[in-house]
Amino acid sequence: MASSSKTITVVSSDGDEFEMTMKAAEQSKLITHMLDEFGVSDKVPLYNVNSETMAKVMEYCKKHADHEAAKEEDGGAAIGAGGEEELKKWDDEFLKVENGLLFNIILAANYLEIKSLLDSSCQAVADMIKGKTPEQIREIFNIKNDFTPEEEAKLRSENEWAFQED
Amino acid sequence: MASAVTHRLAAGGRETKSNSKETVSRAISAPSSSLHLSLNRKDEINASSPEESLHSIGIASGDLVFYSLNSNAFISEIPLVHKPGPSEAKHTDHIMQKTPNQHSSEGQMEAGETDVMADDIADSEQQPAVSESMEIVDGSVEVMGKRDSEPSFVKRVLRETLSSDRNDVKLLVVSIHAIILESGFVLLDRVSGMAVGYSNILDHGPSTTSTLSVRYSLPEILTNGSDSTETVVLKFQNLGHFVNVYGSLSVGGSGLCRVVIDKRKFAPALGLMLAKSDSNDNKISSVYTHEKEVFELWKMVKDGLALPLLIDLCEKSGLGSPPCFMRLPTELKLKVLEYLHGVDIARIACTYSEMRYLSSNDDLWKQKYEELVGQKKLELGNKSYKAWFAREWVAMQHSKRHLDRAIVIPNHNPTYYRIRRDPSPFGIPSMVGGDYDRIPGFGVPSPLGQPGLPHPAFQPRRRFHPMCDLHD
Repeated sequence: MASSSKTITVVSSDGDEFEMTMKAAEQSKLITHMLDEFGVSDKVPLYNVNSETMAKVMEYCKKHADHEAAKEEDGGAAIGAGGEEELKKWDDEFLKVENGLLFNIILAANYLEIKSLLDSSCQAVADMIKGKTPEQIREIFNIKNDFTPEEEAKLRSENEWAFQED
Repeated sequence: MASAVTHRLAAGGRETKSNSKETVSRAISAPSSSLHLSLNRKDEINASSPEESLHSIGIASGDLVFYSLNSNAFISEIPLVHKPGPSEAKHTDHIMQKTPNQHSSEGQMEAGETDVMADDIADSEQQPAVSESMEIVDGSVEVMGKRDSEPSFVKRVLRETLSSDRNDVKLLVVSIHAIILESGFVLLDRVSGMAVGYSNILDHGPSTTSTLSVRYSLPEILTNGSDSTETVVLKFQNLGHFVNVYGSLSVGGSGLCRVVIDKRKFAPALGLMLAKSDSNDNKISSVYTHEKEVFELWKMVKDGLALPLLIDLCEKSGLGSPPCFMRLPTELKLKVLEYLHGVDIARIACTYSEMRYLSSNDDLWKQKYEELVGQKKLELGNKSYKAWFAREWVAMQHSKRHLDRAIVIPNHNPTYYRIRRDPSPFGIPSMVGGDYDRIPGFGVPSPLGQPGLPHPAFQPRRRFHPMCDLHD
């Protein structure tokens, strides 16, 4: 069992344990604070994150920690000019998951205070909304329409300008 | 107690059982002969030969494989199916129809037991006999940048259910059924209403009929022992090149979900995936093509059927709802709105009442307006930022529509100068000369044109030199 001082263990709400390097853990402000407060020897309980989401978040943190490390190492030479773009592409692919998991990722990134993941995942949700009609948005996100027909008509006419197609 | 140290091991495409044992033993500095591998912490991987490829045993990239030095760690005799560990484990935490003593690590599964749903319970349990766990990562799939763990459950269900006859319809029906199960549902027997093993889906109707109807429920509903007869009904309809799948609640159907699956697109991919997992071949090119389609199908069924039905069923049964947009806290909903264009904010305002309220936030509109015009406006009078945005947006749309050629002067916000005499500058009206020349916007209905007031988008028609700055 590798328990060098460079790794910590986090526990998901399902009771599964995940090991991550310090560098990866530093991606999350919450984990960093907890480690500062309570030290690295204990396992960090993350009751708000289930195992499926935890696994995904781990993957993200590791990738971004590795990217940062590579940047620091050669002063940027290892990454090269296209490095940031490559990372962005990786992020986009990473977030191509089913909606339930995507929302869990948003909630986890918010709870764990991982700003870049929160931004990327909210952007991904926004991209799903762009260019859609209200009916389509309701369908994608399983939203229940709670307007009366009159309210709906009024809203529509107030916002008619947004429905003009080019 | 089981401690979980996860070793990520990169493996080449052709991992065999003995190779992987070597890799693991190197990682933990233990002799490989005393290693026992298992996929589900209950059953040891029994390859008929140590040279058999991992893929043929059913281990896919991203799978969690457990190892133990204790030879009695994995003692169950029936090769049971492993469900990918992290996915939806919470739904299978409860007992289906068997007694609680199956939770014990030494529990023996009864020989000949065909109900494999019960196995899923063992998955999410901590087994004291297991000391460590390990993850095998397939190098070739990592290169794709995508983890392959999602279809592995589907693959297993397909293999278990369809031994020989694998026509298109069966492939699709069983795959969709597997995806529904993966989301936490359990199949119900048509007659008794009890939970049954997943292999029985085709027993509910011969594959040649054009429709097949099955019912599902959630483990929590079954164990609550409530008299609720609320279930999810899925109807498969085989129609020409397509399979239509309709999902709804049996009792309080609030809405119908539907996905349409093109057999020509998805059945070959599923067949390929199944064939590949049967054989030891690992052609990279075919891996890529069918993976994309399989993922597309998987996501379509998950987002279009499984999640909506899960939300509906949870709502009707009083269970907490699964993650969805509406469940995000307000601050996160607002964050998502910040990434949207003003037009999309106005549209999402029409979806439901909370969105109407959130979208009316004028600070948000201030931000959007400033993004649109590219600078801060200090004096706006008493109109709301949303109204200003709307006005500016409409003007921009209109000028795009009605001007045939335009030069944009870089140091201004979008203002368009026509360089050609256009007999009908606005499209309406078509009068030329006189007041229509002198006063731009004359005769154009407000709010676009106010007679006498110069509008930035419309300039008077006269000859001018584009570089001349007598203008303005």
